[in-house]
Amino acid sequence: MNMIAVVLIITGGLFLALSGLGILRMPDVFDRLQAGTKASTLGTICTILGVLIAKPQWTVELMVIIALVLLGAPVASSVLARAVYFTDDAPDNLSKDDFKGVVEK
Amino acid sequence: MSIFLGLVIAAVLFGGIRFLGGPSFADRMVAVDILTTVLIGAMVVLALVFDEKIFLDVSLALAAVSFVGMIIVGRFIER
Repeated sequence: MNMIAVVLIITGGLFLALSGLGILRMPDVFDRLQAGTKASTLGTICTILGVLIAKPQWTVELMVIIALVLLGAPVASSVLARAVYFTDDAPDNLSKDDFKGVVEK
Repeated sequence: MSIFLGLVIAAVLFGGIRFLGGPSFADRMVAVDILTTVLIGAMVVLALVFDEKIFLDVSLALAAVSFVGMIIVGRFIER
């Protein structure tokens, strides 16, 4: 198998493991969202690019999966973050809070 | 590929611990969101390992549906 493909897939796996570590170790909900979503998106896309180099005849399906992940993951995480802000579980030690005074909890 | 499998197992283990022990409902849903994305990547590599194109469809459906589920969960905990 192509060496570049193997390196990309292993790098993607490393980022996926780091995202798991992020949601395990981060202190509050917003930190967990931030650490998990970005690292897991990058890890998945790295992995899919590696598979794309190894199997060029699957290009269409893999590109569609990349597009769906790129569209879906940020939407999901921002909707979750917005929903968490309005609940009682939201951390109240935010260093910067642009919503304060503009919207009511 | 077994290195990748070990890394994915580590990610699923960490996310599973957060899912089982998360203090609030939102923490569990964050863990589900990340685990879904991890599973999308793992399914693509499984398709490569077994040389079966059908695993790509699993990954495709998961990528298309998971964020709709998260939007519904967000609406549910926001009200």
